[in-house]
Order: sequence, then C-alpha cells, then structure tokens
Amino acid sequence: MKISTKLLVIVILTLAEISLTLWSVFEISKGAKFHQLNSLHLKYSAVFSEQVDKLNSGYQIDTDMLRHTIEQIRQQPTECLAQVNILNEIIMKQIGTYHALGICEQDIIESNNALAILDKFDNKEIDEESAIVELKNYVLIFNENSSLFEKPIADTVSFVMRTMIPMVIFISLFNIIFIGYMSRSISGSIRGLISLMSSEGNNDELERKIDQNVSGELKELLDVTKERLTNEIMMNEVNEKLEAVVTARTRSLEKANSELEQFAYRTSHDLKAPLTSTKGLARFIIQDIEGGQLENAKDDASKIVEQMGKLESLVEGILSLSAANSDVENIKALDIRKLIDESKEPYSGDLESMNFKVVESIQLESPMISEEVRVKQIIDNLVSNAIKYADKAKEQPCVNISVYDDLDNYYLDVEDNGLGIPEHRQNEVFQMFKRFHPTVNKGSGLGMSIIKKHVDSLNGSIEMKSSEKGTKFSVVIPREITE
Amino acid sequence: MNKMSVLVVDDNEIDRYILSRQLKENGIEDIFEQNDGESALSFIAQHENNVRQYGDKYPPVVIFLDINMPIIGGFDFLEKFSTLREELSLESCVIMMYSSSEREEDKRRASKFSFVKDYLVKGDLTPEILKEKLAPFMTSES
Repeated sequence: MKISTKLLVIVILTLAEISLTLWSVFEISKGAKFHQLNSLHLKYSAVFSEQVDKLNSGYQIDTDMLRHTIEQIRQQPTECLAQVNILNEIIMKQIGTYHALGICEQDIIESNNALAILDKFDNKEIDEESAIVELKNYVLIFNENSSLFEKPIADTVSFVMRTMIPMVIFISLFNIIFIGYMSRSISGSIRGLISLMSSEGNNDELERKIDQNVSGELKELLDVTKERLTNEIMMNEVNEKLEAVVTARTRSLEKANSELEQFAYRTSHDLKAPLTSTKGLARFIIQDIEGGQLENAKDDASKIVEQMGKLESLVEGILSLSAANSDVENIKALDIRKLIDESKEPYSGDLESMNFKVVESIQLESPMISEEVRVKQIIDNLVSNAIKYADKAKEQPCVNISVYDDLDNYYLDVEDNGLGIPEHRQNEVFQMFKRFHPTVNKGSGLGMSIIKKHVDSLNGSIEMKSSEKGTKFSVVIPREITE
Repeated sequence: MNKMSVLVVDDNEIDRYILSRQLKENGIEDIFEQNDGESALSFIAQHENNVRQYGDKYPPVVIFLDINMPIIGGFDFLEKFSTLREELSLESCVIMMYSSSEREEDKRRASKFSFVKDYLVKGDLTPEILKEKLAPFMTSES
C-alpha cells in the first residue's frame, strides 16, 4: 500500500472516532435536556393544579392566566419533538421507547383541548362548574403524561450511554492499534530502504533488491533521485571532458605558438647571418680592391659565394618545411629506387672520394603508394645526413638503405656507420635548427624536423638509435592513408 | 701599438674571419678563436696551461661572444663563465656580445651579467665602431 493511502486511512479513522465521540456526547446531552424539559412540564403542571384548586375555593376563573399556564405546559413537548431527529426515532423504535414521542404529541393535543375548554367558557358555551370539572381532569392528564414520559427517556439515555461509550472505547483502541501498525509499516519501509541503500554490493544487485522490496512513493523518490544524480554525474563528466579538451587545445596552441615563435626567431637569425657576413665580406673586397690586394678580394668573393649557397639551402629547407605543413598532395605509386638514386646524386663526387658504400635493399610486395614529395624529402634528408656526417676514421663509410612492407605498413630503414649523435643530445634530434656536428657540415639544422613533419602528416612514426658506431633511423608509414 | 688580446667565440667561420680582420685593422693581433661555447669553456678552463703557453697574451681582455651556437650557446656560456670567472680570478676579463640578433630581449638578457660590457650587432659593426668600443679597455691596458 502507498504511504499516502496509509496516511489517508489514518486520517479517516481519526475523523470517524472524533465524530462518533462528539455525536455520543451530543445525544447524551440531549437526553439530559429532555429530563430538564420534563421537570419544567411537571413544574407548570403543579402551577396549573394550584390555579385549578383555587377555583374550587370560590375564586373567579381567570381565563388569561390559565391560558398562559397551559401554553407554557404545551411548550415542553413541542420543544422535545423539535429536537428529535430520524436517527433518534430509529433508535427509539428499536429499543421500544418510541411511545415517549406519542406522549409528547398527546400532551400537545390535550393542551390544545384544555385551551378549547377555556375558549368555550369565554363564549359562555359552558358554565363555570363544568369548565372547572374539565380543567381538573386536565390537571390529572398533564401529571400523568409527565410521569409516563420520564421512563422511556431515561431508558433511551441509558441505552445510548451503554452502547456508545463501549463503541467509542472500542474504536479508539482499534485506532490506536491500527495507527500504530500503519506508522510502524511506514517507518519500517523507510528504514528498510535506508539499510538497503547503505548496504555493500554492486549496483545491479542493489537495483534488483530495490525492485523487489520497494514500491509506492519511496520507489518514485528513488527513481527521481537516481535520474537526477545520473544527470548530474553525466553533466559533470561532460564538463570534465570539455575542460580536458579545452586544456589540451590550449596546451597544443601554446606549444604551436611557442614553436612558431622559436621558428620565426631562428629563421630570421639564420637568414640574416649569411647576409650580414656577406655585407662584411663585401666591405673587405672594396677595401682590398682599393688597396690592390686582388687575391684577398678573390678569396672573400668566394666566401660570399659560399654564404650565398648556405642561404640558398636554408631558404630551400624553410620552403620544404612549409610544404611539410601543407597537405595538398597527390597519392600515387612511387618508384623508390629512383627516389634513392636522386637522393645520392648531389653527393656523387663525395661518395667516390670517400669510397662510401651505399647498400640498397628494396623488397616491396607491391609498389609503395604514398605522397611523393613527402617520401622523397624523407629519403633525401636521411641519405644526405648519412653521407654528410660520415666518420672518416672508419675504414669503410657506408649506409644501408632498406625498404620493405607488410600488410599494414611500409618500412624504411637507413643505417650508417657515421659520427652518430651525442647521447645527451639525442632528444633534440627532431627539433628545428639543431646541429650536432657544426664543424663537419654547415647544414641548416632543419633536415630532421622536416623528416619528422612529413612522417607525422603521413601518420607514421620514426625512431632513432645512435652511438659512436653509427646511427639507424627506422621509419614506419601505415598503408592506409587517413585524411 | 696595443698588446691587447681577445677571444672570439662564434660557430660561424666567416663571422670569425670578419671580426678578426676588423680587430687587426685596429691593431689587435693576438686573437684566440673558438667555434662553440663548449670548446671556449674548456679552453678557458685550462688556465694555467694557457698562461704558460701564451704568457702575457693570456687571459684575453675581451671575449666576443656569439649567441646562437650549436652545442653551448651564448647565454649558457655566460652562466658557466660567471662561475669560472670567479674560480680563476678572471675579473679583468669582460665580454662583448657579438650577434646578428637585434632582439631587445636578448640585449636585456645579456646585460644582466655584470661582466657583459657591450652588445655588438653583426653587420652593423665597422672598424670605426669597434675602435670606439674597445677604447676604454685599450687605455687601461697600456
């Protein structure tokens, strides 16, 4: 049963108890009122008897006075009848006291008859003597009515008291027990729920128990609370995720921003350096030509050429980097062997003079399909690094280039026996403008970061192992090109 | 004639050549060169050896210091040099930054070191300006 239904039952029972009690009190007091009215009836009957007695002693008949007394006598049965309701009548019929009401009616009729005698006397229809005889007769009737009326009223009142009081007590006791039971049942289900909710165990089990044991408003309360909590938790989770996304975006923007700043700084520096050098050298050339030192001037001019070459390669590097950032590229089948040959070509002279050995192994099940410019630049930079940073102390400088594939990926390994990268600086390899052997070769310091950018945009990965024995770069590029 | 000696620390060979030639035009013949902050620090660290080898030409009065160098850059050099300077009592030795960077931030950062006496911008430097900048140190040396 729902808690609200239980509470409603309690309210109805209490109301019934109160109304029954009030009704009993009212009925009992009505009985007392009837007794009182009967006493008045007796009193006025006595007054009437006295007045009639005086007539016997030779007094003149005072019809007004007598009429007034009889009207007062008639007043009590009238009031009695007015106060009796249907329920009283039913009860009185049941317990056999209904004739009391007949007595009242009879009394009213007799009163009216007595008044009619007085009227007749006033109209001289009867003489004084017979009027007195009649009136004496009414004295007896009124007294008799009073005494007849007393018993059934006393019986009725005592019946009401005998039945109502036990009934009120019984209902009160019943109510006390029933209300006690109801409140125990209400508090019991609340306590049961509390102990269920605070019990150990997983959620599914708890939900099953709740479905079995909880119903009505408590179940509704649980459902609403659950929904609300679920929403709140979800909102919190969503907020947390959003916050994390914002934080991650902010961090990556900050990183990109600082990278860009660093890039702008280094680019402007590295672009400016050959220009300022050239400016200084040009001044010397002017001085030397003026002073006739033409050999010096020639040396400085060739230094300018060198500087300009450096500037050129730097600008090319920067352009490649920006190409690495953009993603407008056709995907096509690549001729890897051709790409490797092209990467060696600028160094053909060096390869010969250093007796540099290039070992190539291409084992592709199917031609590599990818973005040509990116793959070309990856190969170019890896191969040129292997050649530029060859270790002259080693007997046979060499580089092993191997390209192969499996179902998922393409693999490109470039392993040299060159100078290697100092261990404490290996974490800087893919940063921009990092040079590790400045005395050996004046590169732009951009090559590895160009490779990294290309590998990243192909969703690939690159790893490096380096020691004094040489360096190995392993590039993995997934077959599937995700946009 | 000034017997003043200097140290040029710059990874760029051409820039070292240009500065050396401008120094020589100002009569400074004793020029030590290092191509990185790292090699410069290890050179300075061999103090006694240098004094023995170069006599009164060592230590250099002015160190010309580039900022962007591959292994140990100018600012890292300054940090390390400030301890080395105290250890080896090189208080007479001052530094002039020699960089192509014109960034205010770099100038401010360099000026935080008490022994950095000037900031020369490559490309703007002429023998005349150099003479002016070196004048206070030349008189004190003579």
